[in-house]
Amino acid sequence: MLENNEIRAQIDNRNETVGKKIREAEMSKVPFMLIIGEQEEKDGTVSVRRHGEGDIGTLTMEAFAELVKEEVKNSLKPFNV
Amino acid sequence: MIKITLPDGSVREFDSSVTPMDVAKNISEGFARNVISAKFNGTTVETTTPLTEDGTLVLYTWKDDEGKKAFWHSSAHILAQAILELYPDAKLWVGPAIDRGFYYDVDMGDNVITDKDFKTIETKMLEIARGKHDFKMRSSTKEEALAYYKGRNEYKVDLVEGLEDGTITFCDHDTFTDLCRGGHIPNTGIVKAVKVMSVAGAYYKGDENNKQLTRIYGVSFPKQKELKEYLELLEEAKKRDHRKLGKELELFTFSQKVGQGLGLWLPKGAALRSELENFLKKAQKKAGYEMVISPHIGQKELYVTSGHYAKYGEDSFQAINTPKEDEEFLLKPMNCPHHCEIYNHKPYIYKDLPKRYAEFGTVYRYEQSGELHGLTRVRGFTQDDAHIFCTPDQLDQEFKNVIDLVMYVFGSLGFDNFTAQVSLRDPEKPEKYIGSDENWYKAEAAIINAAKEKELNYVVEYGEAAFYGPKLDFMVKDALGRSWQLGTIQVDYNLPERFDLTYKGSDNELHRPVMIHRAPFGSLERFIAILLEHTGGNFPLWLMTEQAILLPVS
Repeated sequence: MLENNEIRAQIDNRNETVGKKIREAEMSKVPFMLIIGEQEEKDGTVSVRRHGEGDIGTLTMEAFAELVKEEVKNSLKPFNV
Repeated sequence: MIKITLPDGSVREFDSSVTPMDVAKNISEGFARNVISAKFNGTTVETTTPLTEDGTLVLYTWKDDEGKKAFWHSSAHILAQAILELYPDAKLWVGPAIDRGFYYDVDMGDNVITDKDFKTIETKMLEIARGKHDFKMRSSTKEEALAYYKGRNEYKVDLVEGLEDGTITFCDHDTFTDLCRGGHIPNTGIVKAVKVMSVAGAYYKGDENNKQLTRIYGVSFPKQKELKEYLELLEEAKKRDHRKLGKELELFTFSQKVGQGLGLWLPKGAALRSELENFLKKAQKKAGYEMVISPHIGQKELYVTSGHYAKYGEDSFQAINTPKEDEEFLLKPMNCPHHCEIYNHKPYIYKDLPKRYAEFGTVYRYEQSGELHGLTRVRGFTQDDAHIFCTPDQLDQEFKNVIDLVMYVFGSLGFDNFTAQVSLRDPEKPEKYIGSDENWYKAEAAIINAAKEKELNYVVEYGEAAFYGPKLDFMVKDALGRSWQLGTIQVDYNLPERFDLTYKGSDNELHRPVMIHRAPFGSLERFIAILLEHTGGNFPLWLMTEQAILLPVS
């Protein structure tokens, strides 16, 4: 889903506690943390944390992809000659 | 009566021996309260110096760089007085203002100053400052000056020996006297906050065979609040140090085995770098650039032809020899000679131009190990280089196009605050520069037109051009208010001559193309370092090599 939208994302599948994973993701300054628990998995949503802002709510994957695409579009305009 | 011209061009008449402070009060009492230093006809004067002839007067407040310089220079006097009151045997040498603050070099004799003494020195300085003592300049004969210092301070005696009689001045405030050229704020009371920052060893006259003196660094402000903000900024700058962030984010590393000043890019750093390269490649493709690739070495002859051997040969990496005698290669210090030879691979007519050759070209220049600093001063770095070969008539348009590209790059990366410096010839010394007068006029006019049309915030500096052509440099301000020189655009009449570059004009005659060197980033190493310190590692989302991370809980 994210790949199709050209969003560069990784999955942290390591056998570590969530606390540790969050701390490390925080350290690496990755802009969005997508936490997927049982409820989210059932609903097809993700709980989104923004670096430096914290929790910004639960979104569908589509809505999240749209959010990222929108911000990229706004910060990187095409170069017009 | 004398006529005083102010920076806005207005002229006011005063009785002779009016002081800069009187002029400030004449402008407005409110303004005068903030004036702390002045320049008259280009020379720094005291705000109390009587003016006796017509001239141009610039008045400075704390907000101006000249104002800060006077403020910190005066603070160095206060520091010196505090040191002498606390350590009567100390001997002063010199104490200038620096970029951020000031220092004083002192022979402390048997005493040692450590962090624990800073507070005492600061308290003493503030006590002196609160006395609101006027800084008063007075002239002295060489004889008097020598008599004053003989037997008590050999460093000052040496300084006086080097001065010409008739030019020697002292500055007095409170009980303190110092040999001084001038440039003070009106009184010590303006200094409201001081901080001793650090101490370091400094050899007398910078010569390691001489005695080591103690250099005491300090900073001071007209408001306590500004000192607090400054210290917070320093703290933030430490957190954002690109060397620290580079390590934490696993972007790059250095290895003593590989060699000092040779950055090693780790996977995440390499990904970031290629993201930046792709971003620029895409924009450059639109702007009509073509990518080229050239090797990392070239025959020595190449650099003798280009003139770079004279500049980088002796002091840089030495020639690479081969089994064949007399064959010598050099690591390239610049990409331009290679690009000139790329241009030379075939003949051109005027309709073929401009040619715009771009390359992320890695160059090597030897730097003293003491000069190396993280990724900002290295021995090998990759320029986002390009060379544009065009007719003199195309220069105007090409220059504007390059400015558009540079501004696009800065805007996309969040550098919104930048200024430009246009460097032109010294009009008094045309013989210092190569290329015809006509071409210089054309190029200088092209740069100024482009800067004006693109509404750049620019200053013109005469005499700052390279011998081979005028240039435009961009300075950006980062999030912490620090200035960095980034992109540069340079016109070059020299290399086309040296490499005998030509094109056939509409008149069927051969002509020399003009060459433009340009690099919006400067170098990828330096740019990434600055970007790290500007953003603290929180790059714009489009540049993040990892935009999101999925954390499954179950």
